[in-house]
Amino acid sequence: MTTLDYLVLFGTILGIATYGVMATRRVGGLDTYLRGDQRIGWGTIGLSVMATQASAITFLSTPGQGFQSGLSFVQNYFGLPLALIIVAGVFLPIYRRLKVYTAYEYLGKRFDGKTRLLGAALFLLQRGLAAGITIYAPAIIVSSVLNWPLGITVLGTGILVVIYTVTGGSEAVSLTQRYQMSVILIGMGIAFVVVLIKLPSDVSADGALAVAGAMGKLNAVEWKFDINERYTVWSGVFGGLFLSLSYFGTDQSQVQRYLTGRSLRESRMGLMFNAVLKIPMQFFILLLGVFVFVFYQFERQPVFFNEGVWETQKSGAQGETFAAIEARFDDVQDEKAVAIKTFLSARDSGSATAEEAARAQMLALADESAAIRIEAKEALVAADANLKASDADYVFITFVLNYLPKGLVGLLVAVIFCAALSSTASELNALGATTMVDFYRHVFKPDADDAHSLKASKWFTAMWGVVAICFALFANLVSNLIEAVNILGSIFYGVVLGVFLVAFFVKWVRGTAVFWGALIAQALVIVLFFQLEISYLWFNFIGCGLTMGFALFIQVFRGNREDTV
Amino acid sequence: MTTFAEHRAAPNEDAENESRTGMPGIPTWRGVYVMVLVVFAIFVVTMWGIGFIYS
Repeated sequence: MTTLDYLVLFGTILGIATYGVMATRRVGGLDTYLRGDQRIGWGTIGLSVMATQASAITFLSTPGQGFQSGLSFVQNYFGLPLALIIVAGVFLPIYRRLKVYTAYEYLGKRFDGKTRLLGAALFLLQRGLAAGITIYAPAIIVSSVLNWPLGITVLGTGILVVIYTVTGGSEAVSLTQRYQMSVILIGMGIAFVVVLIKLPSDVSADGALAVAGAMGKLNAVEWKFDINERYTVWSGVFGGLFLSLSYFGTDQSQVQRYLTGRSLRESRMGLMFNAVLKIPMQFFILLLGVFVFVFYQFERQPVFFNEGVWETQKSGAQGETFAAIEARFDDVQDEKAVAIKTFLSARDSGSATAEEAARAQMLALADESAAIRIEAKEALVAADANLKASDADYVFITFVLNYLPKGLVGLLVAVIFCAALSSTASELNALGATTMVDFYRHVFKPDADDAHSLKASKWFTAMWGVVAICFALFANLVSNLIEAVNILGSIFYGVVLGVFLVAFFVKWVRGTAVFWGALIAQALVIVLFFQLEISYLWFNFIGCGLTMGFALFIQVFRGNREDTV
Repeated sequence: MTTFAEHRAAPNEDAENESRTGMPGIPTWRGVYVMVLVVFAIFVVTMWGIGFIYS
């Protein structure tokens, strides 16, 4: 990175954070701190909800996903529009009407104190760990490719987000997210244009799509119903609906974003903004990855995108093996580039026979190239079992650092940090609010006035910031930590959603029934997790179904008995 | 304990806003929701069409 890139990078992230602190330096009271005085407009809410969901890893991994597997990942979001409609139509009006600060406060009003504490505790457990990962995951990648010290990167990101989240609260989070998300959208738009410009002059966008399509990268929609297929329309609509409903409707980091709306209309419009724009946004980020894939068909592609790791092994004891793999890969890539040009010429000539023959040759070389990449990854793992064989997260950042003009590299690295800051800010804000509202003021200090509660909120937010930073600093000590946190989330998410669905849709079930139903369901989910060999995503369905089933059964068993709380 | 029905009956300061969207041509929220689903369906068909044309 050049001096100009560093100026753009630090100017962008520090400028937005300073604005967030300055614009909200006079926090009026608890309501301002936790809900931004409910005076935020729908545009800011829409961007804030979008920024909360899109962490830095989204902008690093999604183009890599497009590069490797094409557009099919977009189906993962197919349940999101319907889920947001349900949240806007059912969840949101009740949250607003009851003037709650947190989603779990609603559980207390609908059921009882113990159910409220259960929901809040499950949220703190999973989101508290996830906040550390949100800082750690991008830091490990950026520090690796830019040769920055990992600890300094984690500390810098963490301290900055803690400062403006603690001082300005929910309003500072929403305001900064508006500008962070704008930077993200502009940066990704510029990257999209640059990759199109960087394609060879005789390869049009139509030609690039033809190459991508022939290589199976444009299959965004798979109608076939196959439970073993990871991404289909059906798994996207049903599984995605369930996950999105759980995330947008019951996760405080999202609930707190749309509760800042100055009216129900503004909050609903913010959610509908996401219902309409989220899928196209993900589609274009994946398509960006597909165009990066086409770009690398004509430019020298690294055999393994985490080049630091590759070069270390190449200069190590088995260096000759790695150099030989790389040489074979480069040869096949050169042959493939010629075959692709032949395919495009044949396509333009209108001769179906010539096009089919050229396509077959191009696909054979593509298969050969893919096989060498697999061989390279296997060689890496064989050399060092601790190495991660996946390089998808490094594809986009490698393209950015090597091919974007000066200044724009800084902007795109700023995109990654803006995404990390925005999602972490929402998480810390929500963790602080839940600890204060659902535990401290509910259990320990019921008579706390607003001034005391405001001060406590700031301390709790700072405390979670320190927890997240410490977790991020020591995350590399535990292998497969990110997957472990995702699994942990899936084990608890379903049960929490089940409690909320009973609250909203089954009027005759009361607190004691749903509390014990949730506890039994949670215990069963944990047992099933160790017994069943199924994808962990299915535990969301199982947890929700079991919670609702047990709650209904226990209520029927108890009859119409009143709860004593 | 407060029941679900009592919550639904709680004072609703948003009542006026709930009834109108303020969007020209789509006065009801049900209309907005239908529009969102129609836009979603158009996206799905478009994405499928791109894959079909270039396959």
